[in-house]
Amino acid sequence: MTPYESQLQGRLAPASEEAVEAVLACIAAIRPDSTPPAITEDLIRARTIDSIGFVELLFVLEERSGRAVDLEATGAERLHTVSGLAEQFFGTRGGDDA
Amino acid sequence: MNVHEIRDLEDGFDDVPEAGVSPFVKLFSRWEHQPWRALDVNLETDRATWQRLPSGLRAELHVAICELGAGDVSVTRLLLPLIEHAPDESWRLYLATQLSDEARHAIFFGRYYDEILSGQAPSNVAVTNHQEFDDSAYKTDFAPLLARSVAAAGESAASWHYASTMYHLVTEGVLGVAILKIGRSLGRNPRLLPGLAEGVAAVFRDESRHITFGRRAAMAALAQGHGDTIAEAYVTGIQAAARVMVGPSRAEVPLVGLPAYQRAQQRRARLADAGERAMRQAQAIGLPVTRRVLQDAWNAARDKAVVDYAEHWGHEHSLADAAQETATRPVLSSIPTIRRAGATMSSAGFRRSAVDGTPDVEHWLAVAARTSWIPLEHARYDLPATQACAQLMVPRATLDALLVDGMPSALGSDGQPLLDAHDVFNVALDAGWRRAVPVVGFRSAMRWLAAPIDELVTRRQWQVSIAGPQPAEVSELLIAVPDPERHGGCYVDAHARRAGPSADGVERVRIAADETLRGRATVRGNHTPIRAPEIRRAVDDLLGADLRWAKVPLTLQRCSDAIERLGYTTCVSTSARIATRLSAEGFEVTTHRGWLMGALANAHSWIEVRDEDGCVKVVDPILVLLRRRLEALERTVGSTLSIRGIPAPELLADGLLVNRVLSTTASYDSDLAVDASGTGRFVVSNFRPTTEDHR
Repeated sequence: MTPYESQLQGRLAPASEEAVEAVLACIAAIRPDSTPPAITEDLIRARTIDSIGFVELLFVLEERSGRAVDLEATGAERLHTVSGLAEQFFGTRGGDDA
Repeated sequence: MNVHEIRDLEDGFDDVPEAGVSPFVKLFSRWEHQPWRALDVNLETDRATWQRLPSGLRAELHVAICELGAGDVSVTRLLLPLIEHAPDESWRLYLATQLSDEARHAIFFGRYYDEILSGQAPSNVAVTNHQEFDDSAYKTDFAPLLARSVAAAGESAASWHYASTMYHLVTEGVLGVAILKIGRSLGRNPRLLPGLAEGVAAVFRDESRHITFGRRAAMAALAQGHGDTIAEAYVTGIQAAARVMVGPSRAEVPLVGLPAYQRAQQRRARLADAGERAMRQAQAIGLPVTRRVLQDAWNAARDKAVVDYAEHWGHEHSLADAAQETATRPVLSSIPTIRRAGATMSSAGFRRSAVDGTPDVEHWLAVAARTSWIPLEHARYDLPATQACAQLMVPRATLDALLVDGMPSALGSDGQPLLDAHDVFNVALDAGWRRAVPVVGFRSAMRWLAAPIDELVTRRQWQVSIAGPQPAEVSELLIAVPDPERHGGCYVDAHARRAGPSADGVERVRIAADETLRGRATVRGNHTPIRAPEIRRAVDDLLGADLRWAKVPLTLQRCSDAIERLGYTTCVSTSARIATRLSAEGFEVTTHRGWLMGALANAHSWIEVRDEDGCVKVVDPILVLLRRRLEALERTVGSTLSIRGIPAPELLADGLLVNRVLSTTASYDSDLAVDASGTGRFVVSNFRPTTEDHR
């Protein structure tokens, strides 16, 4: 059982689980000492990352997914959660399509 | 002359004679006009800073101070025979001044060793008991040679010139300058080690006189037929100097991996620099010996010292590679790539791209020389080095080079450096490295500054959400309520909260710690050019003051003078500066604070002033400096972003209110979010443009 299994179980389709795992892996990569976040937690309010870390995370996700996101049009707040990032970068919304 | 007036001068290396003036009298005159006091150099800040320096930097400085101290103690003791047997009275008089210089240097470095390196209380120990500098390679590998030559200085004119060459041209002209340059480089951040910076600058200036004397004396000797003697002394001397630069009698601190590579790189560069200096000096004097002979002598001595080191200590010297090849500038591709901790994702491409095309170490060091670091009293060293590397997109070796070069840091509990996030951000912007995270973020967040004015003043609607951290740090927050009405906009709170004045007079909305303030704002920009020449002059003066925008802690932003001394300014400090000036000139001025809305929102300050036409105009010069930053970055990265409007960035400060400014009733240096006690609090602000009309 992965550390996030309880969050993911029964809430995500398999493809979404992969997307969330990918986002979580990116967060772990840039903030290896941080506590794994809940998928709906605001990463900045929780101080998992700061504003520069947020840009860094988007940067990593863009490289990983090959997809760019218009930050202003999307609204940064939507991208402050793992589920929001998974949706924007990997095309599924965590929890919505379970 | 106050020692604080001393500037770091490297003049005096000129050998151009002045008609009708004895060069030695000229040197004497310079000495009379350039006094300083070794005992008056203030070392208090150095003492406080020393233990906060990275251990690698401390070790490097320790070696440099020891070599400088040992050298000055040695030359002080050995100068007397040169004075006594000088072949000319004017030379003797000048050399007498040099004796006092050398004593002053010995005392300064003795003080530094005792009070800073050894942590002793200030005392007169450095004056009464010369520090022996037992760690010195100079003491073991050069001083005996110099002592023998000086002891024979009275035997003949040739012997005197042999000793003088060894003393002035090699000890001071090659070795002394090389080590002083190390000390100057390591201690050049005047806010970190101001005492060392002052002392080294003063010593540098003194040494420039001494070396000039040595060159003059050597040229006189050449004219008198002592060329072979001087050439022999010089070749012998630079071989000993190369040996000191390697330091076979001093064990190196063992390092592995990137730190070892970086140290070898630095030492190789310093050694090559010293060697090149030796060659150039010989050429300048007209020494009858070819560059090839000198280069071979230098390299042979270097190689011998490296071999001796390995035999003595049982492991290779960090310069072992240099002994195997021509000293060439290392290429970045040979630096091992840094592996990000915890990089479990399949990100090989990412790691590789973080290095490919990265500016080299020399570029970063050149940038750092222009970057001002946040002063210690305002800095917060809490950004781990691994994160700093990730933000700068550089290998750890590059960051280590910056740290050794003086970028401030503190040691974390794990022994790893911690940096100030503002410093990392600012050096990234100064470097303009397109992949550095701050550069990516800045370019993304400030792209709108390239838009035409008409796009910046149209009516625009934004969704607003502001919330405190989770878990909550306090039970409730008071948020400065958006107040765009003054500029023809409106704000509607999603929950119809009512604002009221808080203790600081700012209209605030009270929200529970777990609540989010949500609302919709309509803002209108406007552009009403400034008329009064006094207002224009105030703006022009500020924009012409060679200041650049930087990310700076709010505590420092409130000190306009302090931040401007760094060459920086922000919206807070520009507001303070211009408001103070215009108020003094009789204008009606108010300062304001709110948000600069966008994907990456920032708190923002500006002023509003009643112009001579009776209209209140917005004066927001920081937009100009942000635009200059943006333009510089776009140029550096070779971007195709076109600056579509506002051909002259200065127009951004000409009565322009942009439709991204969300004002409040707070003044320029207020906290936008406070707790019940009035203490400023961290909040996360989000703004998203929307087309939903809520009016």
